[in-house]
Amino acid sequence: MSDFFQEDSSPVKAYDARLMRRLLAYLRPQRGRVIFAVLLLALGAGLGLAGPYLVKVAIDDGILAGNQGILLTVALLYLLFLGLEYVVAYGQAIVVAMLGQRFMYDLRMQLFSHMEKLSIRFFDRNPVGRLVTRMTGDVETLNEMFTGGLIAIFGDIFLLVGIMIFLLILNWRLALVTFSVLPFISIFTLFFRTRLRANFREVRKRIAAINAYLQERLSGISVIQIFGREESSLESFRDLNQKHTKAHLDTVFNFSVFWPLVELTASVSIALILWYGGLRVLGGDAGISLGALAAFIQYARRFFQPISDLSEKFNIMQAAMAASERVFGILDTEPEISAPNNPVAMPECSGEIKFEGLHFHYEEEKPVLRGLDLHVKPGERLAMVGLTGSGKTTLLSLLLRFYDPVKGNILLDGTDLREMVPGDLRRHLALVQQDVFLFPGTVAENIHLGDSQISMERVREAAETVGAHRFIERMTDGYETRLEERGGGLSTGQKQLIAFARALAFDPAILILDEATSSVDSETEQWIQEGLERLLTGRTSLTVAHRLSTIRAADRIIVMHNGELIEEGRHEELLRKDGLYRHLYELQFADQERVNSRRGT
Amino acid sequence: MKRLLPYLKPYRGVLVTGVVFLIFANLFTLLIPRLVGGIIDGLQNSGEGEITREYLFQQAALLVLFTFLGGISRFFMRWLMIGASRKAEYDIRNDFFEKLLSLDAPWFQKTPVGDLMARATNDLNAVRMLLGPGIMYTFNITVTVTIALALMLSLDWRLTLLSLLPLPILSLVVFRISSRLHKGFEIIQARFSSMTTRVQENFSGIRVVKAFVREDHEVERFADENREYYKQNLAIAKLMGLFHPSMRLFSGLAVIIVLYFGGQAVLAGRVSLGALVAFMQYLILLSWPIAAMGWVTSIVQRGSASWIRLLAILDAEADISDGPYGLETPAKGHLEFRGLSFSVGETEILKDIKLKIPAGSSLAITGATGSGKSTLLNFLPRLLDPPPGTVFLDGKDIREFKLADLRQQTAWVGQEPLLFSETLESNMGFGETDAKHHALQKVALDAGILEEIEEFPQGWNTLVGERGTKLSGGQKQRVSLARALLRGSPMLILDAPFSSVDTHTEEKILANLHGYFVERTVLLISHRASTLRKAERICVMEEGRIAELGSHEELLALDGLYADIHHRQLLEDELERREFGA
Repeated sequence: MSDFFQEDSSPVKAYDARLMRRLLAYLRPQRGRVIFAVLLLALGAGLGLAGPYLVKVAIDDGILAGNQGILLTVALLYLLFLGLEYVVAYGQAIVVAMLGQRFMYDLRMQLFSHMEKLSIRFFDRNPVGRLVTRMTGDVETLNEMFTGGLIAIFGDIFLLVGIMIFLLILNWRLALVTFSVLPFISIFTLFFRTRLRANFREVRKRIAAINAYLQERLSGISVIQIFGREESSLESFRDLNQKHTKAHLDTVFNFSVFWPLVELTASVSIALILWYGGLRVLGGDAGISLGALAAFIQYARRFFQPISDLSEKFNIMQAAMAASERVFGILDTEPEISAPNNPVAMPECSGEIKFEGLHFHYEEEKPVLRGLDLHVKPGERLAMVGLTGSGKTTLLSLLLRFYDPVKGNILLDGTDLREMVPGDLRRHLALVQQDVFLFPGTVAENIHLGDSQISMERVREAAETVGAHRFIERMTDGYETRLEERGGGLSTGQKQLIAFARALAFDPAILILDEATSSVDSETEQWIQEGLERLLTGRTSLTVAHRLSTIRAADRIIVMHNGELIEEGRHEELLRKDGLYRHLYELQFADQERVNSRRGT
Repeated sequence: MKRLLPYLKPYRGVLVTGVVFLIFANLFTLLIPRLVGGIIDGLQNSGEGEITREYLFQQAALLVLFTFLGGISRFFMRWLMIGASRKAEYDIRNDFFEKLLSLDAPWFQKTPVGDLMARATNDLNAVRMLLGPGIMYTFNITVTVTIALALMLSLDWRLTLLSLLPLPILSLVVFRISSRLHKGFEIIQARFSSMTTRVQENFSGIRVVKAFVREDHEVERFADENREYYKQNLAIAKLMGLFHPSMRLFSGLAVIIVLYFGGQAVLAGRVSLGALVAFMQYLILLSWPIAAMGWVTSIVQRGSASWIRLLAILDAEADISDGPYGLETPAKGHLEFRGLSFSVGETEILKDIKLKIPAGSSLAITGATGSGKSTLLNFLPRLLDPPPGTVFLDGKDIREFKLADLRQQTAWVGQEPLLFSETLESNMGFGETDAKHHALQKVALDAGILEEIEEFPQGWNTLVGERGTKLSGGQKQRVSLARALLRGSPMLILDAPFSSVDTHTEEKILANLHGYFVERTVLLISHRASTLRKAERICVMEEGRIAELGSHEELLALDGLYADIHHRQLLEDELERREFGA
């Protein structure tokens, strides 16, 4: 699928020993198949050589000698060789296909498993489309290198060497005449190789640009339509498309010249065989028979054929080197967040969290957290307030170990997060994001996320608790309703309710809510508040608060500003302080809908 | 398949010329064995003085000349025919994108982008292969076989017939395999799409995957997809593996037949040795096109399977399409809903909505999740289509307007801001390509984003990243607001545009927008009471109905839902004051 603009800009060699060694390592588990394939290949090439020689025997010893018996023997032998060749060729095709498909399966598996381990930072840096390409297009290219490139080249080499040896044995003079055109072929190949390499690179760049553009425009199609930019989008697309087509046409042109040139050279070689061989025959040279001439011509044809598609194989190799560099680039990316050697197990978690002298930044010179200290007691409800960019969301990401702090520690029940297996840590946490992400699948699947430990009853219970049950039940197939891409058919509020149900179903010790209630109307929010009330009991919670009810219900509110904790306390205490909280309160909360006012009355 | 022809039509002349060259190329190539045969015959009978050195040289030179002419023809053949396929590919890709641009929001909701991308890349490529090498080699095979047969027949008809004996079995094999291939390729393409979609969704939702520790489960699910794709591919590969060897087997059989029976014929004096050698060369020359039949068949099968998948898109019809009338611009902006009811499946989303929004007035809409607020607004730029006779602009059913005209009159800001990986400037000037810089600055200021833009090191030239990932949620929302304001449309439709913006900033933006509220028809969805009050009228929706409608004061007087909300707010305020005072 798609590549992206910035890729494939550096020239990549067609053969890179380092990359090749690594690629070949993938064949190691299938060593048996590889050896078998190469053996079959050599065998096939050898069997293929027999034909023209048998023709020579038939002509010289059968026809010219007037021997019918030999003719029959040759025909039967030929049949035998043909049958063997069939079996060998089919066997080889199957082995190579199994080899290639298995290789792709393994590599895709390895890539996907590896990417699942990589840290959020990796996904921040790499657009999804690009990662999908690594899994599909690049893997396919590498397969082509094994099956269509490497193995075919092996076969060609067997064939070329076999023919050369055979011809030299048959008649070395005539053989040398046949090979006399090789320097020309080399020159053509070298010349066109350079041009074609540039062509191929251009083509890859152009198709990457088209796909990147297409992917993005399709994702934002409604905006294009509402803003009436169809024409101009189409125009930009045509322009990209045009450049792509031109790149291809250049390639076609070069091939169209190159192939006939190789053919011409081959036919010069055949003409030379006939002319020189003919002269020898005329001169009465007993070493050259008519049968030999006929055989030579057939061998010569076979000899030049692999050469004509050498440049194509070269392209395959070059594309594969570029692809392997990208694929290995991913496989070589170490997860920034990984399990330590001797991880601390934590089967139970009380929900006590300590942030100690926490420093963090996404980019150098732009600190997001500067020396934050915070102690969250088990079962405490902590609300966080602060302006956009004050570091609230970042703090939650650090607790989830999406990132590791630049300096300082986070301790869960006294254990540094870095001493735990990230998965073990996250099992004690549940996250509700501001932008709820729903997967393609049913509503139920989006709540239990495929966790077999979570029964349907629990899914239902969780949905009921957060007030999602009502609308889910009204859907066509209830919990088994398939959601459209990214939950397209649902309102933002409904999506959030599903996310709540999801978090609840996982029954975490610590609940992490990121502005979770920001765009839910007051009625829905009231159900949620009721559900959350039940959920929060006995759990620690950290909430990026945008709602009055949250800050009022919080055991403690922390006020963040520029990555620092500057005030903390209960709502009323903080209000009395007349500090930043007072201002924030007036700005963000004082004028808000009163969601849980009934609770107060 | 018929539907592919129009894409070749513009290149008909080119293709026909290409085929003419193809014929010449084959003619020249196929004359060569006769030359060789002639030389062999000459050499065999050299004792009788039939051949001279000059003749030998002449014939050899002729052979090179024929190849040369054949080569030139082949150049034009390839250049014209493959070139045409690239141009047809260009046309199809443009049409594909153009079609997608015309399809509506409901359609896109049903179709994952990953699936569309798979069609745009894999499938289009397969179709291109069909149009290029597929067509060229089909002709090439036909012409080679025809000419070679004619030349063989002229040499010896009995030998020719004998050498054709394996042909019927061969065609049977090809037919059997290719029909199975066709089905296989269809399955493979579908599997590919499904696998790609899975991967794409996983990466997009990676935070959720990680937060809920679903990595292993996701790997398992991927393994299932991967395994299915692998199995299908392997099955096809095994089938394809039969092709090439079978072809070689059958062309080899023909050589044996000719060698044996031809050899006897030479011995009997019926055929010359040169003719026999020529004959065998023909068979060898034929063996490549015949072997390629398998390859060509698979190209054609794969291509036609893919073409069906492309056609599914090219034939898709937008339910939402142009009405017959252009819109007099600028529209006044008088909106009316006349008894609008709307259902999706069996769920009734809106029930009998009656609402007049006079030109230049503002209406704020609030209501519970799923009460139908967004749906109502989506009708105005016709992201969704209302039933006929229910939504009117300036007294005319909006379905009767041309889409582009209607949308030009509506500036729309959705819940999720969608930006493109371009500069801030081109994102903001998205609706108006020739926007002046001061106009951009004005709307950026109004949307409360100007200051931040100017603080970026690259300012207006800052690249926002894929889907605007380099900006915060609030920044994205404000950029998309500015983008809409720039259009100067008489109707401004704001679907919860401040959800990621803090209240302080929202207050500031709303103050800036005051002028727009006065001049334009404004529809605004919000949950924040302070925001609602900014509009002249407020509409409270409940389960798809308008529960309350009126000005702030009127609704207060009504003493219903809105009053309830407001009342509670006052109580809370009082409470706060008391607490604070204490």
